[in-house]
Amino acid sequence: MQLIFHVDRCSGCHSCELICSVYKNGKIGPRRARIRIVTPEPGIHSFAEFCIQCANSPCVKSCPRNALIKSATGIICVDEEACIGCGLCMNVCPVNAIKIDPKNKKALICDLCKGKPKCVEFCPTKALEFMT
Amino acid sequence: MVHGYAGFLLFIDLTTGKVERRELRENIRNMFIGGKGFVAKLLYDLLPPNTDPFSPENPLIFAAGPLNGTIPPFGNKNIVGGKSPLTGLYMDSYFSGGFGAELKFAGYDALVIKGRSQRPVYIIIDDNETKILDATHVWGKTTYETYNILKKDHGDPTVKVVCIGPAGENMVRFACIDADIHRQAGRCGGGAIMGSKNLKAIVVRGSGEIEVAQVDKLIDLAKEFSEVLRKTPDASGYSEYGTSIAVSYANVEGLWPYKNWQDQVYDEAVNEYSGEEQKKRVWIKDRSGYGCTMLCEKVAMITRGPFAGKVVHGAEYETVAMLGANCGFSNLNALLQANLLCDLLGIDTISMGAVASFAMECYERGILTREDLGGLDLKFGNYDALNKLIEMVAYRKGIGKILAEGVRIASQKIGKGSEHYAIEIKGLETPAWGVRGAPAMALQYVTVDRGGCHQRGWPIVYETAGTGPEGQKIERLSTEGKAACCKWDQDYTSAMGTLIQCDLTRFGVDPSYFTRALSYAIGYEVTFKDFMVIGERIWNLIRLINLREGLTREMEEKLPTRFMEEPLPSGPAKGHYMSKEELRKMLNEYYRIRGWDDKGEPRKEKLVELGLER
Repeated sequence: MQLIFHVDRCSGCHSCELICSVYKNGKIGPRRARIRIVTPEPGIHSFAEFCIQCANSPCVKSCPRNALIKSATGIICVDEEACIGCGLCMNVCPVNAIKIDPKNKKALICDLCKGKPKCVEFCPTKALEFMT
Repeated sequence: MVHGYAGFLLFIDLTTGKVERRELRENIRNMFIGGKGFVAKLLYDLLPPNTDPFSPENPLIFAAGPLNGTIPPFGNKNIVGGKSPLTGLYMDSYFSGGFGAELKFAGYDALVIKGRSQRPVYIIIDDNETKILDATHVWGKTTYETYNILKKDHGDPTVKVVCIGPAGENMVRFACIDADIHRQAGRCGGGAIMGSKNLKAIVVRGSGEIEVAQVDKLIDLAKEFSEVLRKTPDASGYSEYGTSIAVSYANVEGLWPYKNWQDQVYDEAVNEYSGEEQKKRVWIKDRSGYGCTMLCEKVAMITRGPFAGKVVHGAEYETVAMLGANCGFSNLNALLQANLLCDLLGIDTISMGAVASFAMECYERGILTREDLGGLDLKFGNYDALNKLIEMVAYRKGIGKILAEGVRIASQKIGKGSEHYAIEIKGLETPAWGVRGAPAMALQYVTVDRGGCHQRGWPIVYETAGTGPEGQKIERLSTEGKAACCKWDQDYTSAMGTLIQCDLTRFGVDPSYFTRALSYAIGYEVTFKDFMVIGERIWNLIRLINLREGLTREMEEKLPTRFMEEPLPSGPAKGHYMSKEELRKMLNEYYRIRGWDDKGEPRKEKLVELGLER
């Protein structure tokens, strides 16, 4: 299971961030989303940052509290009780996929919404695709 | 938390450095909703009468609406307002991007900036921490450079920034505010107000959340609306070809400007500037506004000339028409270069096009000499001279010093009959929609709150379609029933301004989507009737501001003399012009329908009815 991002299709509308945050938290706040859109100057293309379930998972190894657990399908789950929001996982992630939740100070990692990612459902240009 | 709102306003005084957070009162929310409503109400309350637009007392107001930062693919535009340096009246200007949403995530529905800093500064709003920081290192930089530097300074590429370029710093009266990513609050000179305050930029980062009353219903509506947009011919046309899809329509209907409005047809330029042509030749990417599903923002790569290889966002219809057709040339790459120069230096392309074509006509008629122009051979069609002129205006060099004042003041200074060639209303240069063959649009132009503008009402579509907003039959060239069309469209557009809804998402779409989305966001029902009353209330409140600032019927509510005296030389409305008599008749009817007296002042009963007076 994996999210695929097509940079040529992304319009930079940020809908994925909005829908991710509202689906996970009931309120809209893109800095609590598990996907982020970044648009470097001069603003031609936008790039999505999210967990790609990489094989090596440096985030898991870096965690001093063993709060990140890799499932059989490769999804990284955050044990929110164990996570202290130290940000080491964020620093070692090769694709900038991990953020620290500004509200509860825990690591934010895409969990593919139990196999039905809301961002994919909502992406107006089909720039996000879900591969099972 | 209040549903749909952040609940607070942020006041910053650049003279004293004082920062204050105030609660957004419930009656303000209910009566004015957001966006344009907030700007009007705040300006009415905070602007001391007869303040110079460049005085520290002129408040610069940024506002969001209840739909900013929420899901539906409309209502994520942003608004900035104050007292315009061009018109001396109420101004507001909308722009795309996530600035308003970010402001709400940081905890504020509006931002009011007063005062003037001693030295160049920029503001950073980082949730509940607001700082005023030194901007010496970005002063003098172009808009593109400013973004790069400030985003790097803050180590976060996702902050939202608005800034001005050198034109704003030099208080060019039609300087724009640039909002990332390279969208502009173009009209009325907001950039010059920032410059007068020594304010280079505002950076916002918000990590908070917005709660809406019925989130599931809002999401369903957003999905449904996206489908509607995909199926609506207007919207899908904009997605495919941007606003420049209007080029061929404007030419066929005889509505777009050629050589400072000497004509309204320019056949040769259609195949150079149309959306179809731009798509084929220069567009490398389609983009959307924040939270929007339409792909109307186009990114172009310049392929020829000194700017070859550079990237510009555009070119929009207004830019190709005003900077290209109106300046008498048909050359896409040269046009894109002028577009990019304006964006980098922070100049409104509409006013710049009007100012340049005014100067070109003055030159061709001998009112301005080559010497006056510093050796520039400013004939219509000379785009190299145009690009030099843009820089002269931005830096107020040579003739640029006079032209930087806008066509109204410039023509007064130049004299020699040049006033006839100054195409402006209330001091704001008119955009690229001619009104000589469209009476309702002419009436709209003279009565619009911020001066010559096509975006605060759009009755021209009723005239070319033959059917009014409430299904009534109308004739294009007749003045009959036009006042009613005009009032309806102004009230509707004004109400939409509270949301802050994008013009492009409204054509051919059932208006109930907008009121339903608003109701789902704020948690109580706003009917279409209520919505129209809110629009009318705002329109009347702004009228009160403008009257207080000295607006009079005789001085201000008229067309440029060219539109009232020179018949159109070609197009479907050939031979037509808007006579003073026709205009007077429509204006009388308009005032009557509005509940205003014959001087254009709202009657007491009207103000009581709208809750603006007890």
